[in-house]
Amino acid sequence: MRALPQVFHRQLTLLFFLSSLLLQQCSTVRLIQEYDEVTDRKITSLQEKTSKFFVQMERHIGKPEAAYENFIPFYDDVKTDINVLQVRTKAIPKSDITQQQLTSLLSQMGNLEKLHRLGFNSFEELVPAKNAIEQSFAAILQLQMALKNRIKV
Amino acid sequence: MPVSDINFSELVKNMANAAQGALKSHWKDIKPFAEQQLKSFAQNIKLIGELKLKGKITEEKAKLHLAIQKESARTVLLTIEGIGIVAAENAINAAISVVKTTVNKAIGWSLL
Repeated sequence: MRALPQVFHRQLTLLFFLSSLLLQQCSTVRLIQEYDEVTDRKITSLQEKTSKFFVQMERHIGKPEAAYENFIPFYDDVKTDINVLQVRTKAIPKSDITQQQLTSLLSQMGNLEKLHRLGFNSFEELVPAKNAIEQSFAAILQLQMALKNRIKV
Repeated sequence: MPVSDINFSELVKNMANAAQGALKSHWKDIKPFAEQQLKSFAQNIKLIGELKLKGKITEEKAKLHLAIQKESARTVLLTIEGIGIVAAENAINAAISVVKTTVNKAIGWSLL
């Protein structure tokens, strides 16, 4: 009669040990992608390029220097960078949100290029686009910061 | 303290407190960002309307501007969604951390 509880005790101990091991293996829950330093750095670099573009436009708008043709390399460069980032993030598990943000950013850059092709008469008409694109970068970087500062168990 | 002596109702309470703390601190972080972004969108759309009314931009340009605003708002909402997921994840992990501490303390060595 005493043997039975001992068997149970051993089994319970084993069960507890195995459950603990299992819990240890998956103790950190991940519902969204891991922080990726390369993505973060590339987005910051892209934001710097875009910021420089707006500074140049503010200085040259109304002059031949602000013509669309002079900025084709800028648009090519920025679109290439976003495409590179899209390919990179596709390889990161649970990165759907960042991927959607990059698609959205690419669309904004495409529409900015279309506006530029039509020509800017004053910097005033560029302000809403500048604000919106800067907000997008701030939002993307804010998410990267949250990924970086998440709780690790 | 043997494992059988773990106060489970106290453990659940501590886990809930840890999870709540993580969620609260994240909302505190995201609230000013969300408010500022929404205010800025309203101002941008007002500005586009004014530019169109004054004849400074064509309808074609106004539509392109609005498309940029729409995509930008989408980016911001995606960040709010993402931060919400991080907050939920933090809440779960904070609760797991409480279990970890309690179990390790109960058995007297670092099992978890």
